[in-house]
Amino acid sequence: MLNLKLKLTCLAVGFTAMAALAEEPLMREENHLCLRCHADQTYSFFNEWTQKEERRIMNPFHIIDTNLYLSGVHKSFSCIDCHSMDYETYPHARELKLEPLATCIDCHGGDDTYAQYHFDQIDADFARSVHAVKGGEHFTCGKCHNQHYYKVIARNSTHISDIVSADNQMCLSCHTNAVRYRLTSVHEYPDFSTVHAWLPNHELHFRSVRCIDCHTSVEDSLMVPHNILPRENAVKNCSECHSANSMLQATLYKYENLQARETSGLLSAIKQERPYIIGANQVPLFKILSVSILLATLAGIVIHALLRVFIRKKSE
Amino acid sequence: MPLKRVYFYPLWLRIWHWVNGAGIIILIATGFIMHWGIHGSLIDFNFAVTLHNITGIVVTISYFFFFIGSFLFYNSRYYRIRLRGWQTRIYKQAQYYLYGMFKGEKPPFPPTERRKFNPLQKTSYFYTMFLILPLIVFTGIGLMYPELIIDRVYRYNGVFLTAMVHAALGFLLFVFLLIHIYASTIGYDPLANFRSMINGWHEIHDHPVLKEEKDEDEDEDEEEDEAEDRPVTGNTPAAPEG
Ligand code: HEC
Ligand code: HEC
Ligand code: HEC
Ligand code: HEC
Ligand code: HEC
Ligand code: HEC
Ligand code: HEC
Repeated sequence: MLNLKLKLTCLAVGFTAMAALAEEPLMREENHLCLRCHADQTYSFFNEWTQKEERRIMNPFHIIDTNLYLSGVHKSFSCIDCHSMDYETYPHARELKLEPLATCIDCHGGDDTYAQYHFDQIDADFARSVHAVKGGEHFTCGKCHNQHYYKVIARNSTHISDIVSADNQMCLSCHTNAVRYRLTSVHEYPDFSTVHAWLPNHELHFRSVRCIDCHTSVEDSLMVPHNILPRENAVKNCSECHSANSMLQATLYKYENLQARETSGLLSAIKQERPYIIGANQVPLFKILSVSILLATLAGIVIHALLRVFIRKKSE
Repeated sequence: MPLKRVYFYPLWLRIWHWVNGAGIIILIATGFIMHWGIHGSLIDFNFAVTLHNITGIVVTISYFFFFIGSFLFYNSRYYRIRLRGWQTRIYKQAQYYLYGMFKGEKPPFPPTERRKFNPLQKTSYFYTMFLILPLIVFTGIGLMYPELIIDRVYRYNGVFLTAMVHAALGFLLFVFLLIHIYASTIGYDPLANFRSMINGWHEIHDHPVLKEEKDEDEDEDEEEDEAEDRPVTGNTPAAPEG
């Protein structure tokens, strides 16, 4: 029942979205009814009991950032496409708190429109992750992806640093926040820095590589693997990245939007935004050059030494 | 028996030399491991990084002592290059190494109390000690504290450029080291120079050479040494080959 209603809404939204496609992202007119209160730190309403206009502080967790909303994938949505129409009245009816909200898969599951994202495969991948296994039902897609603001980054962004910081922020929102962490776990909250103390300069690393580059296995068909592995299976070997065949080529650096801007060659390697990774930035020309110089030096030394021995023998 | 023993290498210099030598060898080995991303069951990247960092600091400090010591004990005078006739002298020394020594010729610039290095040594040591080493120390410090490096040099990645320069200089040092070690075997006997770098004494065996060559190049050296305390006057002896 819920699903049917949702599918219909999706369809309706889809059509309106298509109509508004070429236009600037514009907040839906009817949303201003909600945003009048939900976009500000304070809100005012007419108190029927006291018959007075009152101004109060809005719970910061209930404030919607309209800029982020308009840059998200669901910007064309009306609030009540997802939330109940009954929110139009204030105070909101209390049973609205119990309203079941749609998950990503409720709307996107089995939908070919966005086949390129492989929603069903992501769902299956996620179901095998430690989060789903240990967190169970509580751990939904929404724990990482906010439906209001969700934005596709990795496949669109041209800046590695943007991808890394946005993706890591998702993970850090729990792993450096004991309160959110407890939403899905009864276990103790491990200290994030201590866990990664084996990695020198880990703050620098976390600005240049994603958590998921070490904590998932590569999935060729998925742009973003969702199977967070148990800690024992995380990448700990430095050479996975710090070597000529750095695994980052198959993970973080695989996105075509990044590669399109770069061609091979030394200068472009230096021009790249990519950080310098010890051991992984090898320039074939330099390698050939240095090996030749080395061999020439050694050959010179050997010939010289042989001549010395030889001539001494002769003169004796 | 040597004709004469000259105290060539004071203790501080010898200590510096061997600390520096061991350090450079470790740095080159770990540098290669890191730069080429060499890995295997016996090689631990993390260990290579740590070792490289620590050794780098030790070598930097020891270089600092060398620098101070050189000026304090007038060691630096052995590195002073006099430009006039320099090319000719280099050429002469190279000729000697390339075929002169095989024909039994005498070395054109044998070591004396006043002259530790022949022109080729002097040049290569000068560039190594006062150009390559400071540069590699500076780039190394930069890589250890990347926040010191300018992010972008025009459109180029600052850390990347620094790392390239650091690696290239390291490679040059490696080539220098190979030649340096080999050249040290060219002495009275192959181990003579190693011995003197341990006990400090250089043995002069070949008196006639000293005598013979004296007029040809000793003047050049003398002038060099005295140049610092003596103003240039009209009667400066001419360079050997004009
Ligand atoms: C008059 C101001 C006002 C308006 C208009 C308003 N809200 Fe709210 N809303 C609030 C306040 C205040 C809360 C905090 C909880 C409470 O007081 O009920 C809230 C809470 C909520 C919640 C969270 C409920 C919970 O407890 O989990 C949702 C969802 C919500 N509003 C949606 C809407 C939508 C959708 C609209 C527009 C159709 C809307 N609101 C219009 C003031 C308003
Ligand atoms: C694509 C569906 C979708 C749309 C569109 C949407 N919401 Fe939500 N909203 C959700 C979901 C799902 C949650 C529950 C989030 C959670 O529990 O983690 C939620 C939660 C909320 C909350 C509770 C606070 C919070 O962030 O958990 C408020 C307030 C809210 N929405 C207001 C709005 C307003 C106002 C709009 C319109 C501008 C809107 N929503 C549009 C799906 C949507
Ligand atoms: C209520 C149904 C609904 C829910 C829940 C929902 N979506 Fe959507 N989503 C849509 C519709 C409809 C569109 C098309 C909107 C448009 O074209 O403007 C869309 C668009 C998208 C797009 C953009 C595709 C593109 O190329 O533009 C992505 C990605 C996406 N959703 C991901 C998610 C994720 C992740 C979640 C869960 C956090 C989610 N959606 C939850 C209905 C939903
Ligand atoms: C543990 C956190 C986490 C959870 C849980 C999670 N995701 Fe993701 N997801 C990510 C990250 C990180 C990205 C990369 C975002 C980016 O850079 O675009 C991502 C990307 C995506 C993308 C875009 C992939 C692409 O091809 O561009 C989709 C679609 C998606 N997730 C859907 C889901 C769905 C559906 C679920 C629930 C079954 C889910 N995610 C659960 C972390 C999570
Ligand atoms: C260079 C690879 C790497 C990166 C990048 C990385 N991790 Fe880890 N992480 C590991 C390894 C390896 C372990 C297991 C450590 C151990 O067992 O001693 C681990 C352990 C963990 C644990 C387990 C803690 C526990 O004891 O329960 C969590 C949680 C975690 N990482 C989260 C993250 C997050 C979030 C990020 C991104 C900010 C991240 N990691 C980035 C390699 C990495
Ligand atoms: C909603 C909060 C939340 C988010 C977001 C989140 N995690 Fe977790 N994560 C947890 C909790 C809770 C656990 C502990 C599960 C347990 O043991 O009960 C956990 C466990 C882990 C573990 C340890 C698994 C083990 O073997 O013990 C890793 C690794 C991990 N998360 C990585 C990530 C990465 C990578 C991301 C981002 C893509 C991420 N987490 C996002 C809450 C979160
Ligand atoms: C997931 C890939 C990955 C793994 C695994 C990894 N690194 Fe790195 N490392 C990087 C990247 C990317 C950079 C470049 C960071 C930058 O400069 O922004 C880097 C930079 C470094 C640096 C230079 C930092 C500086 O101060 O300039 C050192 C040292 C380093 N890594 C050591 C290690 C060691 C030791 C390990 C194993 C314990 C390791 N890394 C594992 C990706 C990795």
